[in-house]
Amino acid sequence: MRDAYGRLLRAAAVAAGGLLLAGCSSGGGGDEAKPSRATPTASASGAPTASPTPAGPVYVLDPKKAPRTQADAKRLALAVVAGPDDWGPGYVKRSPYLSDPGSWPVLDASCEWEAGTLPRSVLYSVTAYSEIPATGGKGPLRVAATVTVHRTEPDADWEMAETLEEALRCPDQQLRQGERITGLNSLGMPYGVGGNQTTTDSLIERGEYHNDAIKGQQYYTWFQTRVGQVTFASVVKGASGYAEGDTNAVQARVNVFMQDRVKEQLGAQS
Amino acid sequence: MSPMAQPGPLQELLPSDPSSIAGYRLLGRLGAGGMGVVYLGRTESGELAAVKVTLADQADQPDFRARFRREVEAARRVVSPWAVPVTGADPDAPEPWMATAFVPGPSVGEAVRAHGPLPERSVRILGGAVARALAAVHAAGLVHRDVKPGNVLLAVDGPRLIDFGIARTSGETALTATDMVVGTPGFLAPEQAEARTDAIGPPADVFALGCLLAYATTGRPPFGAGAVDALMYRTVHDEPDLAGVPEDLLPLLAACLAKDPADRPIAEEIADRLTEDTPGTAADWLPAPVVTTIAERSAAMLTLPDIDPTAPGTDPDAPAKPSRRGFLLLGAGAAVLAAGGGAFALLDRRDDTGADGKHPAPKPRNTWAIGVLADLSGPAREIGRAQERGARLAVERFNALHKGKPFTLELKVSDDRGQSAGALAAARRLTTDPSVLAVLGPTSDDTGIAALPAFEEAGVPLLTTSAGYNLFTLRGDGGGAPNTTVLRAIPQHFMAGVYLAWSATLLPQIRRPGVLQERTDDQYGWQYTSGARFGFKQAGITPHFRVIPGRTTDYRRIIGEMIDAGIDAYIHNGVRSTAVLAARALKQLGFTGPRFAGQHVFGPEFLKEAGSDAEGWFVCAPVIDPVQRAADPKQKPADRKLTQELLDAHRKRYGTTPAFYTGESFDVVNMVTSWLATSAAKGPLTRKGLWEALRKQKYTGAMGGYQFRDNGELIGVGTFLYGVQKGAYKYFGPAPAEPKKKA
Repeated sequence: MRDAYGRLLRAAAVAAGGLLLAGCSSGGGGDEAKPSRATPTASASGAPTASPTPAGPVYVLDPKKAPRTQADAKRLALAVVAGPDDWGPGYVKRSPYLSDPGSWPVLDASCEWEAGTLPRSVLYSVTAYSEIPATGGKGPLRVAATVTVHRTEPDADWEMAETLEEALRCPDQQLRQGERITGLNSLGMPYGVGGNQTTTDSLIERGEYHNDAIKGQQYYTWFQTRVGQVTFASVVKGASGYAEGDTNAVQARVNVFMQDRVKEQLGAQS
Repeated sequence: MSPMAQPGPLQELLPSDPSSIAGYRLLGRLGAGGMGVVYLGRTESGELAAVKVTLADQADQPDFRARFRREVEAARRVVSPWAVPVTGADPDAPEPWMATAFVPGPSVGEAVRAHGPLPERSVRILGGAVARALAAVHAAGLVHRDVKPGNVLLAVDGPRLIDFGIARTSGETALTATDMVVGTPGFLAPEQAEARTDAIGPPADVFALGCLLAYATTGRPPFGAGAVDALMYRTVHDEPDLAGVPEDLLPLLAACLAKDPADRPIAEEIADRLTEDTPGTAADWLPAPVVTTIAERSAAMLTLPDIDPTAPGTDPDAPAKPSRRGFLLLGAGAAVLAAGGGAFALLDRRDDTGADGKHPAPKPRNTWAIGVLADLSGPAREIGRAQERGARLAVERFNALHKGKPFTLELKVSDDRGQSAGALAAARRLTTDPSVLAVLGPTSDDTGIAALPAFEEAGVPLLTTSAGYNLFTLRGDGGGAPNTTVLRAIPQHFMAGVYLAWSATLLPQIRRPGVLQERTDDQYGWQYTSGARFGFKQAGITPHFRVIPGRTTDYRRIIGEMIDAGIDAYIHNGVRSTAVLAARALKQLGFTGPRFAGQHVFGPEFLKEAGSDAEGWFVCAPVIDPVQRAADPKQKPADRKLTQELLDAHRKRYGTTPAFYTGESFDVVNMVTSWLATSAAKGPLTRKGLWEALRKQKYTGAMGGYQFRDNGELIGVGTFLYGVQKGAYKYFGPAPAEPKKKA
């Protein structure tokens, strides 16, 4: 009995370790269908957070460039969010390409994503949907990028924490009718750990992806990063004919593109 | 040669001086006295060193060489960022010599004479650092005996204590007809002034430190100056003159200057009381004129012959880029000033190059070393110091048992200060020392992550009793190289989280535990939480999870939400400071369910900080209390005997019962030494293959048994459950090895 537990435990520990390693070397991803994040309830304007989670001498942001209005935030989000050109050759816009302004999916008590309202702590959030359409024996590879501009840095910090919490609370989630993810694991990599040397905070989620319209099981990867008051994420829903390692690399690159743009927009000085 | 003082104005070599000694090319004279001469030397790799040579007629005095050898060996055990390391010595040369890293800064005496008293903040930093250096000296079993302004040098990154107790003979500082007084008048303790030799111990250094700090802050020695006899009389009978000492420093200095040695604080305590911050740069801690002096002297060093601008090694962390190195050298002399650690490393590495023809082949060693890489002065210093003590007791036990056959063991200690920055350099102080076979450490995850490459490069096994970060052992599954460096005598954090959950399942009423992950140390929190999730799942329990940013302070609201969500137990996967906030909130909110926490919370600080709010908490730790184990009737008598042996040795050596983590560290080092003792008979000892050999050990020590998986991970539960009762930890026993399933 003890041995059986031992094996089980070791397997679990290794899986956890493997997840972290994956996070070091590549990106995580996200998918369109779980585009934005839940309401940062806790953020409810300024829960007294002594300072944002990760401590790290990463860079200094120019306070004069911090978005304060919805218009500022929209401009920044649209300038940053990754589109087909960032994802690479063969990717095209899906239709609709951008999420509706004000859309804000929420993970409900039964672990299903449903429409919610934009919390006060969020200035603007947008998701851009791209794909490589199904071709010659390969399935449709669906990807998306999301940028969320919060009013304050602690609000963004809370969003990161709640994303981690969602995977603990709901390892199995229904993205929409006919689309599910299962066995979700998540882990955070604040500055200085897990190979994160460039951003204030980042996290990855990985699970299995199931689509009733598509035979078999694919993978689901979500990679989310925070720079100051802005979070951005990329997501990939695996498709037949594509290797997870390859799409991870693409996701990591897309994340770096967005990272660079956010830093530029926020006037980061290192 | 009382002024061992480095460097002073550098004087030219005399025609009678040798041009080199051992591997050092001599560049000039730093000082001379009745005993011998101190030279400035340079190694082949370009490092500067102070080389102290004793005249042959002095060296032929009875016992001189034996004492010299003993003291050098002891001094090599002193590893502190604030003590100048001994980098080489030969007690058997016709003129015995000893080399230390060279620090070009002025001494405290020179600085005060030239520029007046130091500001209070400088004095606090000075005092904290010198106290730390003295703590290391005392921990090595030495007494400095001559702490004075001339023996503390000022460098950009902090002061350095030199000349700790080495080859100091009666002839050097003899002050009385009986040749019994050693030291410098004005900075002598009463017991030294009266030459009560058997009463002279570490407190004498503390007294001298008090004098030094009084001098630094007022510009006057506290017992005045002048005729030696009168000075010594005042030291023994008069109160010190502390007029002008800042109010904040006054009680501490007065305590250091107590006439009765027993009334003085110990060095560690002084360091703790003065540690408000550590210097970053010279400009940060020294007055401008002193900084200028340092810069001038550093610049002067650059004009010395044989500067090789591409010489590697002055900064172990820096990439070997010639252009950058040159820039540093020619710029501010920073690289020269950084020579402390680097020179040590290079000199010792040179010992390994015997086959290249430039150096004699190494003699067969009869002395080997066990290293300790620990946080001795940072946030986890309580644990780090406990680990050092365990290792020291194990090494002393080995030497007492084996009496030099087949070899003698030393303990070399390097303080990583609990900071990632600098941890790699701290590790390399040990791994580049060829006498070091294995290292106990690190204390903390973060410093271990930074330090690990040093151990991997050098093939030195690293044995930890407190670092649970998963990837120290769990490597290779993601495509990288498997672990062949770390042996972990505790469970990794993920497993600790599993056992924490299974401990909770012992309480049958728990159906809906609230698991909080706070992100101050996110690796720890995440791994504990993943483990707890797994552990509860095995028991058929679905917890309520919360994840919150690090350093969140509003625990009342967060825990209130968790209580509203129906939790019937609380599990804190975060650091101690937030557990204190959680404990307070739970109590204020009237929560009555059980509360649990893990390794980061365990320890006396939680009890102190949370006070009565900690009452009733359960804490899982990777260590056992040896006192409770020795008294545990469930243990076999033979096992209890081993535990008792540890308790006795600790009491004898340190006068107290061991802190947590001492026993496990004692065991792990004993495991290493017992393997070394048996294998020394089979051939020369080497680092090669040592990790694998140790990994296969099945060792039973004072705190229990240790076995390891192929990846270096501990086999077995290795987690122990404590309950806080009446302000103390009560030991309940090992955590369960499987969940208690719900009916």
